[in-house]
Amino acid sequence: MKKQICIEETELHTSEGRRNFLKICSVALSALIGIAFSIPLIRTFISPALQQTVSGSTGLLELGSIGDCQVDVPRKIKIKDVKLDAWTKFPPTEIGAVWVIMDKDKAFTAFTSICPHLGCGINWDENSGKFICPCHDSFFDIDGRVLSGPSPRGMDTLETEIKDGKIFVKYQKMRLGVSGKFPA
Amino acid sequence: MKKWLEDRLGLSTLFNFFMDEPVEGGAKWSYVFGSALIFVFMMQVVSGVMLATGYSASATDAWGSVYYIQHKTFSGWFVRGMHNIGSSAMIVLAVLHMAQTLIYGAYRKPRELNWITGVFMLFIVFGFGLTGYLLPWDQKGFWATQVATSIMGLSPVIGEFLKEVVQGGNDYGNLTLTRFYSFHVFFLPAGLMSFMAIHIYLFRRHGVTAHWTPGELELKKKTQPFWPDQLFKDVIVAVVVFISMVMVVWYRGGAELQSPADPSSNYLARPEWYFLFLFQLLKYFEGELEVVGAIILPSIVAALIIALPFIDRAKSRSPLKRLPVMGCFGAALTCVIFLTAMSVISDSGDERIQKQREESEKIAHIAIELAENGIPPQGGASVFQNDPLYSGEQLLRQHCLTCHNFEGSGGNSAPDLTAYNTKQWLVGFIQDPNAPKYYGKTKIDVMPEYDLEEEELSDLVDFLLAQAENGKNIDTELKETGEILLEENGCYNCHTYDGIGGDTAPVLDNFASDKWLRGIIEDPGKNEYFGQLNAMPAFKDKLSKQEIDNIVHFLQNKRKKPID
Repeated sequence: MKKQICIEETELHTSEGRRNFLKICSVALSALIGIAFSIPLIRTFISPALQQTVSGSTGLLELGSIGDCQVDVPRKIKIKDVKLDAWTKFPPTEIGAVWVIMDKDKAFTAFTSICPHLGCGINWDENSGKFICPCHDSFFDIDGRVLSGPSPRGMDTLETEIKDGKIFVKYQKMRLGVSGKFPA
Repeated sequence: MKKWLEDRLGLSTLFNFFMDEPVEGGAKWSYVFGSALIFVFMMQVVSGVMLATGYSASATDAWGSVYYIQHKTFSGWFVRGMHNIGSSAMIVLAVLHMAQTLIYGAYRKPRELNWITGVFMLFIVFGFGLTGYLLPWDQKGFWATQVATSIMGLSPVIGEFLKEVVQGGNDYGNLTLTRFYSFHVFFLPAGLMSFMAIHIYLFRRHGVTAHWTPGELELKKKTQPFWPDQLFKDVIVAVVVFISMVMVVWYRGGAELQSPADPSSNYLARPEWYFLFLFQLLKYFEGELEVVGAIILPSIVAALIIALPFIDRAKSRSPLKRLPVMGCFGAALTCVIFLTAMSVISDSGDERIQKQREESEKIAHIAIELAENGIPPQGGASVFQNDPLYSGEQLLRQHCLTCHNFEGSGGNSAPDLTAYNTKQWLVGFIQDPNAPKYYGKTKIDVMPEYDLEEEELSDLVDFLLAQAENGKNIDTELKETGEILLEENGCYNCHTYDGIGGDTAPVLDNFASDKWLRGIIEDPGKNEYFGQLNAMPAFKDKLSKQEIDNIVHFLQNKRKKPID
């Protein structure tokens, strides 16, 4: 095109030293603006990884009255809680389920129904008297211990409290696929 | 290593192709505006993409998502602020670029298409501003854009159809937002970049239009390479623009967010500043003439601007030899500035408008504070339900005013709730309980009037109201005084207090407290309240606990405030 020929024909009204100075300055200043602007941009981009964006209420959630429980019969109770999803607050909706078991001494255990292996919902099989996870066939006994299957640990217990004849539970999600029980 | 890349990618050749352009006459500060525009546009794209990671283009969620970006996302306020000020920067730089090229006659043969593609890009930039303004779905964006689409509707013949295509249907809603968003992030960027490619290609083909005075030989002698000489000046200007933008964003705390769009409200609609001249112009064309000011005149002016290269018949490029063009340009620019100034002055001088602005600011603040607790799923304006006072008042008006009167409106078959249980209300009540304002219109007509001394009456009411806050822990002296007054006036014949008295009138323990008031609303027919003579419905099954709490909160708040 035109310009290639032009360069050879005309004298460039500049000097080598000046050109180098301008080149270095241009690159340096552009880099500065680039870095300056990219800092807030990156912060915005990674922001959700640094905050809690989806959450429920803190504290204990009510499950029901203890009068409805029978000894050594696991009862599946759905948990209702408000959900805060970024800017939206949902009124109480079902967010999960727990298995509640009363022993002969009237002590209560609550298991989350989420399998510690990969997160599927655990069922109770009356006939065999075992908890079974349908996804990968993990079997647990009534105390939540692993009988067989790929689950790395037993069923996760949740903190419970009894007040005025009602059971309350601290609903939490735990990390999956590891042998230790840690909050997610 | 460098040679390996060079053989395969040919980067230096590519680099030289773009950068090694000779600028005849030398690099100049007057040429920087085009590059400045590209710089700001690139920043808009990057900041826009980042905003898109958090923005939701639905009528329910748009406001909430923008609130979240502004107040919860790290540096979100800054990125949004830069994007907002960037749109103004684009307009300013575009006008400067247009002015410079016009003065230099850079639209003349053979560069006519340069000019025309440039003007199209100007219109697209206005389009960006218009579509972006609506996206937060706040009062400001909603109402200003309503005006804009209504103006589109004025277009002859195709008006209504055009309006419905643009707004996504017969009214503003979800489809308006999805449509405007797709314009803003797909159609318009594609359009702008296409025209930009053509514009830059044409510019490179014909070369820069240098100052009109030096002759061709002189220009050739002073030729400098685009890189680094011109690009250096461009970078300096980019730095200045960047720092200016950052300073404005920092100083203002980013872009504003008005309260969520409320189609049922009256809001003072004003477009963004760069459309104010059109807004002002419309004021001079009323009724039937509106289409002239809104569509016809602007279209004629736009057509003239586009056709400029063909209208200009001057022999020389020098501005002094193109006085008609210079004159028209100067006049047009002056008009636009004048109209913009008139609009601003007119608004700032109007007290009613200033008041409305202040109100809007207050409501915006409340909305943002309430959003902290999370916005209900219906989104947008439902955030006001979070406010117990606001909600309480709404519920009172909705459920109670069939019978009760409140601040001038409502029924009159039940006690007036204006300033309910304030000292004045109670003083009047004890003196004349069967007045129409109190229980006169109800079936409860058994309490006698009490003609007490002013001081005694005051003490009695003070004693009763002390229950509201402190329950059993009221000042012992006050309690004693109160009990004596209750005794002396025969109150114990019907009322009970602290275990003593009759049971044919409301119990006076915890009088006027939240608990007491809640109890009346829940079940006024209970013996501890109005018993058998009661005609007020029990609300414990009609309203939720939260709703009753809000009504109580509202009434108690009114009671504690001194009357203006």
